[in-house]
Amino acid sequence: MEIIKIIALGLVATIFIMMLKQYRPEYAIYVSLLAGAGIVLLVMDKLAGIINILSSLSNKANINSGFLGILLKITGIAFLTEFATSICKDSGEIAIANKIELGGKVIIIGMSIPIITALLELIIKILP
Amino acid sequence: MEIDLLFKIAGIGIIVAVLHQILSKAGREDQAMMVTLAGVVIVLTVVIKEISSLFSAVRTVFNL
Amino acid sequence: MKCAKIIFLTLVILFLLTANVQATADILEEQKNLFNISDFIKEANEYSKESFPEINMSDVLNSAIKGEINGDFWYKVVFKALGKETTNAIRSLGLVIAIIVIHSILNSISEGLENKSISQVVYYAQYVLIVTLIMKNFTEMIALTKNTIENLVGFMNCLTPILISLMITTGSITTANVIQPVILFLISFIGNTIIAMVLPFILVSTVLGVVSNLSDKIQIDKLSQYFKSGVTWILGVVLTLFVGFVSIEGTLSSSVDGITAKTAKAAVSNFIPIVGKILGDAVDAVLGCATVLKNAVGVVGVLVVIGICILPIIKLAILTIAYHLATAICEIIADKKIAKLLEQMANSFKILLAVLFSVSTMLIIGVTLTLKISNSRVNVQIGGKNDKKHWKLGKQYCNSSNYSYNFRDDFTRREKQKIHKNCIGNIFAFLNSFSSNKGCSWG
Repeated sequence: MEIIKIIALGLVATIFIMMLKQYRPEYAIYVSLLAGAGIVLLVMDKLAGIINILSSLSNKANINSGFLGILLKITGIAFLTEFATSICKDSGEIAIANKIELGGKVIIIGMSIPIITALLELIIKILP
Repeated sequence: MEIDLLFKIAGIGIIVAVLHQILSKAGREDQAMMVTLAGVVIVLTVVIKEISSLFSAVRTVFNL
Repeated sequence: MKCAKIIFLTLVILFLLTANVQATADILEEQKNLFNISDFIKEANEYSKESFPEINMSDVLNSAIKGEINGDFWYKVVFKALGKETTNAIRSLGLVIAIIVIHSILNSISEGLENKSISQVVYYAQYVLIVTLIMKNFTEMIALTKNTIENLVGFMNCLTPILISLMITTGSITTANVIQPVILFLISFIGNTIIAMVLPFILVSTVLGVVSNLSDKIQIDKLSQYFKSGVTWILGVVLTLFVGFVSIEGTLSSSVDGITAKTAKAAVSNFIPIVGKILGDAVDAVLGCATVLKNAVGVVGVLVVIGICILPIIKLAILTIAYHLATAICEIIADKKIAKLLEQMANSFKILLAVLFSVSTMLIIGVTLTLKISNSRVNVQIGGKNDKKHWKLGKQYCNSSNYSYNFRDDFTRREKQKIHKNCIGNIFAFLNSFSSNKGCSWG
């Protein structure tokens, strides 16, 4: 059962962090980093399966596959940004967390410019 | 595998904490400091390896 | 001597009568050639080729002349079109629904993240794809509507002269003269108005709907609703105008025509000796054949009009139903803005359907009204009730002009000559006075 593994990993990590915070707070960050990485790696195969299904569905439906690729990349970037910012916030570094988030947002918007230009061109095309 | 790693890191942390206490009580502050730093470096290498494997997995899944 | 004369006259009369009876078909053929019916048939075949490829319009014309109208080929065409259009609509809507499903999954993956910009970007991507698909359908439909209306107007422009000339032959001269410019002008005016004003309105309102559903903050819904209600209003006004015009003009002038035609016939058959009655019957036969031909041509015209617009109407109807269905389905799984977009597209299709439907109904009503108006006074019989009135009026006129004779009595030679000399000039004066009593002219 995957879910029990995830729950166990998370709870054990939380307990350790609580313990280590008093003596060696720096180790707490490592433990939380590891726990997060471990949980995501556990569900990575399932996620890969879902995304494969999505791509095959969109290929069958004759949708422009470039769009789906951009969307997946954007999702990945957002996820990684979220990972980093939450760890920073947990350690109390909210400023750094906000900067990381800002960087992530800028990169996402940069990657989604083709979509927005396609939308505007479409609207201009159908105007009489 | 992940739980073992977690236990390992937590164990290293606890050991370093105990050693630091002992050494500082014994009066060797500098050695205590060095032990702490060594522990941090070891844990850092392990964790960085894990994080890099996490990032490469995300990259392959999301086609970055 | 007198016997021989009588026998000779009887023989002549018999011969003419039989010739009349057998010459109906010949008269029809001659009339057909006179009015260039073959050109008309060619045009009708051109226009209706797409929807009735295996029906030859001249066969339809001939069978309509005989009085039978075969409706079987309708069902085949309609069902075939229904099936094809349904599969097309389902296919394109399946694509839309697939896109929406994919994006819902992506949204649910990225929902947990606190980053709101990713869900917005996913929404934009989804929107672009859906709008691309829908716009392809929509521009196709608008082009189809424009083509259909142009075809309809073109066909009416080629049907109306033939109908008008046939109407003149059957005697509705005043009606023809009044209706012809009115109908031609109205039809081309309405066609041009719809193509130049109504279709751009619909296009603009759809684009406004698309843009307003792009984000939550920009809402220009009300503007697109306003355009849509404007279009409906224009349609209603135009339709009412057309039907009102045609029926009023028709009613006014058809009564005039009835009386003038009957009077002319009565005059011909009663003032010209011996051959008067035969001439009157011959005129009857010609009029009857022309009427049959006119009705047949009208039936062919109505069939072609229906044929031109039935395929687009079916396509539009099925697309409307399919889009409404898709709106209902997508309301559950997708963002409410997408559902609103689909609903607005369905409304646009509904308006296009209403435009096409009302134009074709208007044309069919116009043609049928014209036929009915000119049919309403064709059946003229000597000795009917109205003819007695005519005779009384004619007698009064002649009495007032100091000529006392009876119409129905037998003619003596002297009276015949008198009638010829004095009354041929009076006939036209009588007819003119009669028509001027009704307030119109021969023109």
